[in-house]
Amino acid sequence: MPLSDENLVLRFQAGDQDAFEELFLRYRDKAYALALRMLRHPDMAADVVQETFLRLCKGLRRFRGEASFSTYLYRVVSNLCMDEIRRRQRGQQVSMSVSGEEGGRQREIAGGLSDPEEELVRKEYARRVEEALGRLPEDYRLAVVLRDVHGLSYEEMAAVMQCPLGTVKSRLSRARGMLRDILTEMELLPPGHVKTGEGRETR
Amino acid sequence: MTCDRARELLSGYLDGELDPAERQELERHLAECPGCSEELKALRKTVDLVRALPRVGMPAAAADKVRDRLRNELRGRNVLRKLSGWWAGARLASRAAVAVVVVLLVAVGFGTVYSLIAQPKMEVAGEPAGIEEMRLRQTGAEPAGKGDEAVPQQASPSASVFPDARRRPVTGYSTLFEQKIIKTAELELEVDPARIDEAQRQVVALVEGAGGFVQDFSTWTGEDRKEISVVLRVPAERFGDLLARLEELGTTKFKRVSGQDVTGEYVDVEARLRALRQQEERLLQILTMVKTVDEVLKVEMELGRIRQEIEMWTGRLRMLDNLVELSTIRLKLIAALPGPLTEGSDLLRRLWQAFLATVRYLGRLGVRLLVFLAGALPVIILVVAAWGGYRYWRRR
Repeated sequence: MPLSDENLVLRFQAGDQDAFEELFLRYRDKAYALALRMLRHPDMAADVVQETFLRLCKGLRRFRGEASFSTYLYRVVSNLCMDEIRRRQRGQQVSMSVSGEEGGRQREIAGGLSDPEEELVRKEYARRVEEALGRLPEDYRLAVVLRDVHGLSYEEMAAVMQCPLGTVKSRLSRARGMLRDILTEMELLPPGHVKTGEGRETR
Repeated sequence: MTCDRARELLSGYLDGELDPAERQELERHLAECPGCSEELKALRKTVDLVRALPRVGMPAAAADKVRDRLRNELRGRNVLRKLSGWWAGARLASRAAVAVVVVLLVAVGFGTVYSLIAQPKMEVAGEPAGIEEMRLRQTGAEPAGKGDEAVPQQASPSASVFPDARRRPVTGYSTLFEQKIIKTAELELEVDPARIDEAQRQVVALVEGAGGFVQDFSTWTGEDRKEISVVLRVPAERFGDLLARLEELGTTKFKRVSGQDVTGEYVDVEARLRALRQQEERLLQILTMVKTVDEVLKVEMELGRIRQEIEMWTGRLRMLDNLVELSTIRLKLIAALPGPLTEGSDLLRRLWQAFLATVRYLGRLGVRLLVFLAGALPVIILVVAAWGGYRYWRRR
């Protein structure tokens, strides 16, 4: 029976170094996945993961379990990513590379046993969805990724994004709408339905 | 339900996050609006596409690098832990050193403030402090040049000193605030050498009879005289009376009486304390509202700072109260002894004596220096230890 995150945190606070390594093993992929989707750059994502755990290493001493460990972690990751994105925008140092192009360097955990051709199609499909995600503004992207990739509840999202529940709802709703438009434009979704422009709908 | 409203709800509907009423209404709308149900389908597809994305893992090389970096960090902490005994000692030492320094500073500060307060204020004619004792200015220089009416520095011995001045400078607030005046006197009396101990006993009896106490007592015997110095604290209302009685014990050689009005400062400090207490209360309220660790820490830090300040000003208030309620009299009894020093007529002998005196003086100075160093040694050790600890901590 594996220990709970909270248990590991307590152990680490009591001085058990292995507990922290266990937390790292559990969460590094999640942290990395979020950072990669936000920053779209593998090295930077790895840097964020490192910085995140270094901060946790210090911050967990004072951690009193107001939120769950995973929420805390996601919050640190997303804050670091947002900082990085803001820095980028200020410095205009655009060195993004679409994650799919460096796909070879990524481990895909859910590697199926399906035949190579199908695998290739699936990969191409995924690459394009990632690209569509990449075209969302950062806060929208964060909302969609936290909800639909990482499966956070609305309450957890509010804690991670540090905004009220209502904002989470509306932001997620608008983000999905925009993503739907992008996917349609990229012909990943069938066209033919009407866009949700304000007031253009039948009532 | 309008389509616009319906579309706002679709996302929440997909997540099952609508409340039952909203959900029913939306479902009713979807049943009759093909546009919106089409939209729902598209949204569901969108969400499914995102959910179907392959899970991304951290590249092994990068993960190993981060893990190594973390292990380094943790090991650093571990080493720290192992050294914790030493470390805690060093930390304690540095704290103790800081505490010692703070205490020293406070002591010096207190001393300075105290000497400032206790310092005779000869120019405070406007202050109603001297009261009847002011007539004793006769012993000092006559401030004859000051004919200026705003500062009625009267020097005539009999005149009760400016009865009007008693009211004048404080009419503004004397009705609102109780006046706070620190009274201080210095008195030097020459007494008969044979009766000096008797005089000392009388002083003690007088002071204790007046409900005061002897705060400090020292005696010094030189080659030609004996001096007894006492610092007396007496209730302010018995101050004048007691001073007169003390004077009867001998011949007045020097006398100085002063009063310092601290009403202004007193009121200031009280106001500041009130403001601080309000601030403290507000912070306590805020503390119940904040949620994140960061905020709690911030508020608590601020709270600590405020409380420290409250502490400080309360102490100041208490000190003022003490100084106001108990006046201070520094009394020195001097008795001339029939000295042998004057008979040295031989020049060589006097030179020799002078030389010896200096040598003795230097010797005493050296001893004092040694004593001082011995006294300072623990502090020096602590400071060096703290510095070493700090350096060690920095290098890590």
